[in-house]
Amino acid sequence: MHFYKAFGLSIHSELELTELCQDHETQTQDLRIVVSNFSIPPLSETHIYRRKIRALFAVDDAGVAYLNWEGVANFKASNGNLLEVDPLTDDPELLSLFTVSEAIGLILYQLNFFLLHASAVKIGNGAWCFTGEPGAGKSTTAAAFIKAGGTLLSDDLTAISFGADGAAFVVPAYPQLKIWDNTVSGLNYNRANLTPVTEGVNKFAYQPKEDFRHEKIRLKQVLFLHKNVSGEPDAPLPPMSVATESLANFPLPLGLLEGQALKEHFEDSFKCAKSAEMWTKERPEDFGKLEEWAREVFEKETQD
Amino acid sequence: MKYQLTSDQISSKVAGETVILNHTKGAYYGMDEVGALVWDTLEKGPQTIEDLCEAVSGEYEVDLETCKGDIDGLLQDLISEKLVEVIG
Repeated sequence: MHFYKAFGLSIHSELELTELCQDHETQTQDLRIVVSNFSIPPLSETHIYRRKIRALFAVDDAGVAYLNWEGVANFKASNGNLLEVDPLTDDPELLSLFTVSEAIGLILYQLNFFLLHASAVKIGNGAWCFTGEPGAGKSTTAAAFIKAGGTLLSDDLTAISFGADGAAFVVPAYPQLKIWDNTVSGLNYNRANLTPVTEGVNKFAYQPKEDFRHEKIRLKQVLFLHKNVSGEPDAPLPPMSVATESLANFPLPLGLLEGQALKEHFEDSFKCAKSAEMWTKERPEDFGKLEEWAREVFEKETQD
Repeated sequence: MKYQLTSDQISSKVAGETVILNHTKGAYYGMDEVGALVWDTLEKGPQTIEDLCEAVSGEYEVDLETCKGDIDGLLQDLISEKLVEVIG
């Protein structure tokens, strides 16, 4: 059995999950990950691809959720505390990658976290979330803010929880940020401190395992990045877009968000809008401008 | 005859703007200022068209006939989107 801590959860796992922080053997167990065989109901296609494989999905009346990734694994998430994995590959790295992404996301969803396809960095005392469509520069922006002095909270999958007063917090995920080869060069990251990633081509992982902290951080900013084409200035996200952009950047199958669940997602997106600032932000046109922006923000946020 | 919000809807207000979701249909709606005032009034409970007209004419200078006509138009739109229903 392996013991990990991620997304604030104590995890006992039969699978080795190399991305996650190791934890002491604990009595408390929030999530159990086991290898098992299970039958799966009829599946539907989703809009989610990973390694060019399209995820298939189903959810039953009891809220048990199923994911199928052809040639990788079937996953079954139950009650926010049990993730069953039926491997379809012998490659442990592949299994780990697919377990700590959408599959663990299903568990977080069952635990009522508000989820965004985003990267998050702690700057000063607050969490800054970078979201947007694939290619908008989420991880690249996070990398620039980390270089400026910020601390990595999450990459790709960001989990947000709410306090009793509605205040939003980012729950740190695990110490891995995946960046492109041109970002490594553009931001002058030291290659000696990075691990090449087998996923796709030309990607590297920054893994600050030593310094990773698990305390949740107050959400301060959510930036919806878009590619530099419109020439429009940065602006607060219009209220209508709070709902629609949150939906567009939902990282799990949209089949989860029907009826009551869509209503709760709508309410949570507005809790974020009331608790933090939400902006549309044009991604800076080159690495120099990106770094300059990150430095300015970091200095401003850490002045006091 | 009174008008009330249906159980299919939920709304939220941020930066002074009201956004409405019909979570059965998965459709989103934005409200203009006057629409938001009518909506806010409906959120307090079922209202007659006269109640709604009173709320609007308290904030905006408008003759009663025009006001009633405009609110009726809005209510019909809201009814057809299943955001509002008629009772009694």
